[in-house]
Amino acid sequence: MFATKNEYDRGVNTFSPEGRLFQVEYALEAIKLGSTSIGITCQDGVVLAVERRVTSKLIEPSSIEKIFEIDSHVGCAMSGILADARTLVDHARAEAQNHRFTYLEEMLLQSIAQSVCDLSLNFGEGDGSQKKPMSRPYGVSLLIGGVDKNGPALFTTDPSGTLFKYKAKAIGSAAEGAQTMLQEEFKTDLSLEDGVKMALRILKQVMEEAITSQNVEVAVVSTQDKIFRRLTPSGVEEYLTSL
Amino acid sequence: MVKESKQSQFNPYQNNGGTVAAVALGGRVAVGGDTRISVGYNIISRNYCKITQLTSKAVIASSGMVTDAQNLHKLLLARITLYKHQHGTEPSLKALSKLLSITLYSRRFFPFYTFNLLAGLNEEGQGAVYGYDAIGSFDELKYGVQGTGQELCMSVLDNQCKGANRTDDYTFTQDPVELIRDVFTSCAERDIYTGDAVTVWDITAEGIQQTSIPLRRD
Amino acid sequence: MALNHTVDPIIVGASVIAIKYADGILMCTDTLASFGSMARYKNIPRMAAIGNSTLIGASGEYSDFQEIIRLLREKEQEDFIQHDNISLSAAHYASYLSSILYGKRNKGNPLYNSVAIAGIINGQQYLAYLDLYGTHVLADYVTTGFAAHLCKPLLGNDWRPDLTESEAKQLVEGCMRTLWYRDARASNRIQFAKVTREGITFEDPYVLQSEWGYDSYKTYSLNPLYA
Repeated sequence: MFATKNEYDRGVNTFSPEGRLFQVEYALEAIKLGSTSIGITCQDGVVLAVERRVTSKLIEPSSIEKIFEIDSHVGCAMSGILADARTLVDHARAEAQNHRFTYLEEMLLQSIAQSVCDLSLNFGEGDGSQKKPMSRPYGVSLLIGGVDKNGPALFTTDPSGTLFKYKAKAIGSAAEGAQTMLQEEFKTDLSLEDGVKMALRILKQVMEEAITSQNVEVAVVSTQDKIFRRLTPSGVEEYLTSL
Repeated sequence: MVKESKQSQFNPYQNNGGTVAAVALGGRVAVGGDTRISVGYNIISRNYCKITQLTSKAVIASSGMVTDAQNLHKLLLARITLYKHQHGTEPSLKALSKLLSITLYSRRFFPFYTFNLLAGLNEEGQGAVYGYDAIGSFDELKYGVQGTGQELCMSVLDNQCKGANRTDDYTFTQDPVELIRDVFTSCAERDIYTGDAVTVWDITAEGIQQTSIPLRRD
Repeated sequence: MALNHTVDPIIVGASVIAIKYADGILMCTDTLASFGSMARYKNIPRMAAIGNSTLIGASGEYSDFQEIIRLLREKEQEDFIQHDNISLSAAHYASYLSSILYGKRNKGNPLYNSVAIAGIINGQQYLAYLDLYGTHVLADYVTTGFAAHLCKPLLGNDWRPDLTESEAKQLVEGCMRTLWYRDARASNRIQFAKVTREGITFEDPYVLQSEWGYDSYKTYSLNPLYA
């Protein structure tokens, strides 16, 4: 009946004879098309930096938002389908607030990331017992970074629901090149300042367009106050001139 | 004669009596509970433990209705196990304080008939006590007492722990375990629902020690 | 309110007494179920075995007791068909029953009983008291109904953990006689059952020896008006 192996990519929850889930693998491909995002953990905080692809002069660059605040101590950068990211971020925000309400404390980063992964893998038909799940895998990968009681941390999630903790990680179209650079340049005693510079330096090299304060987005969470902060365009400009 | 067709309604509540108290001092907290439970003038147990250990650093002590307390404790233990699996650590005392509050409030319109003290060490290693009403209002305290003997115990604790109504220059330095024992011994003298024995849990950074001393059995 | 809620028990059994002794647990009830002040059913059992190591006795609404037996036997059947050489203990049944009782009291539709559950677990005696609210306490001796007033003090004086079976029986029979003399809903037809490491044994019911011939029982002279 299924003559060619390509037939196995019809159902989202059907394994191929080689043990692969093609729809999940295709979703992973969607991320490779997305803009590049970088996350770096430093001694005194976490940096998230993404490239904004301004495809037309007529787009208002500030309307492209690819870094989100999940809770006051956690942010997230995405690569892939923006709308899918919003669904996951909405879920993460609700979980974080629910945790605050129930336990009077901020939610651990790992737990937030794990709750995103739980939702990521919840796709397909559903069994009718609860709300209908997403019909296909989420085509997005997230870099979830922030500071909790265990210090700064960075996690990645992807469409397969896999969770990893990273010291520094790049996702998106130029992930490979950027990751190589991170591997070479990363040090454990990095300051937050140096982290921002490193992220922008790497973005500058992997971006097709020339880097400006308009086509990148940067956010940090410092261990000092554990507060998620976006850098203003003028703040980014300062770093860019110092590169 | 007209027969009255009034049907009596089942009252799901019952006060099984008993007293629980807790005193925090520095990096230590002592929690006591008597071991008597009653139904009216009947004593249904002389060795019932009103205190349950929730984490390595926290216990809950409940007076009021035994069956509600038993089920509340079971529910909390299950929630704490889930927390440990989800977050990889034990919940802190503060996290427990809110968890208990919302658990009680979730039954706002059919309350757990329990009056609780949550006691343990907080994240700074300091002893702390949280006191609750039946529907989840709560407050952090240095010392607290709940149950049928609360009026008898509270004024003594006010005087001993806070130095209320004293004219001398007083600071509380007494062994909290000893204080709990004295307070229960006195309480058992006058409260018919408090007696038989008092179990005191001494919580410090080294762990939890349990001791028991007899009280009046009449 | 739905009509099927038991808010007033109708056919009721009186006291249950169960005590631990050296080799096991001895339980005793009379065999009467009353309808108000009428002695309606004079020879019914008020104790039952669940599996081969759990004994249960109940006072209160007799139909609710039958429901409890049905529920516990259903659970025992579920356990039996597992065929895994693991069987539920008295503690398991007590915990299960406590949850049922608590759940039903939460719905305002209680099972109107006070229950003693006895068993042997790893060679040790287990004895629990349960009530219609779901209260679940462990004890060395359990008394329900009027026995809680009339017999608990007697047991408090004379109970020891190392009682022999005949001593235990003598003690409990004394309690049952006291109930027969003073509890107007008690019967003199009583039945013993025991759980030991060997299993559960029910004895045949028999009629208590009692003495009503005392002078003070026969005269009115205690009333000062007739003195």
